[in-house]
Amino acid sequence: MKLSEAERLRFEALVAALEASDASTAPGRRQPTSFAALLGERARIIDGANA
Amino acid sequence: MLDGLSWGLVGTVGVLLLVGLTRQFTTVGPRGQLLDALAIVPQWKFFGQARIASDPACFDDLCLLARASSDEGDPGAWENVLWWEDRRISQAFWNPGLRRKSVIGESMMLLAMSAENGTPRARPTALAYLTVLRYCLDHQILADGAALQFAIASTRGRGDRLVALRVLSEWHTP
Repeated sequence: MKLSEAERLRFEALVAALEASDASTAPGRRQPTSFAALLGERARIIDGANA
Repeated sequence: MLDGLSWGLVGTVGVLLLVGLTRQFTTVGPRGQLLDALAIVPQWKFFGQARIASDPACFDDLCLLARASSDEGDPGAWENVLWWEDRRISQAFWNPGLRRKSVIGESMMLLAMSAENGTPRARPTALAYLTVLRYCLDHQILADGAALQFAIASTRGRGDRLVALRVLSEWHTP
């Protein structure tokens, strides 16, 4: 996505604020969950609710 | 000549119009809503209301950002995935991407509100979460073994654009 100069400055300010917030102190990457696994888990929840 | 039925109809429309105009400046409480159980009285309003305009949260812009992480676990830089850029006048007539962005935007709003309220809709298995995650995965090029994390941030106001982190996701792979 191409941003104008003013938008780019706003985006950089947003990223700077993010880096200074919880995002920088959040736990690092551990055992990432795959999208397919989340879909499967959702299907199991729905099946369980309908059973 | 108008007969009695026509006069009654004209009178009813006139009363509804008057009540509708009155509603421009008032808010109906629960008791008033009970009296209008069939929702006959018009609910629309002509102009943006001061009650709404005085709440800065009504004008929050939600931004979607994502970053990738390599196998080693070092997170990369944040990149914009969905950004409400300044609109051009021509987009008032032709803006084919607006509907798709609005759908994702609604999911982002739902996810942000759910996360703050602690409702189950903020879980990774929730439809809003999966919708936003899928959109990020479709718009970020990930290397083999890389994972992705997204964040929803809101910017408020037109001047200083106060930034707040609303949602920070877990790490996910395709």
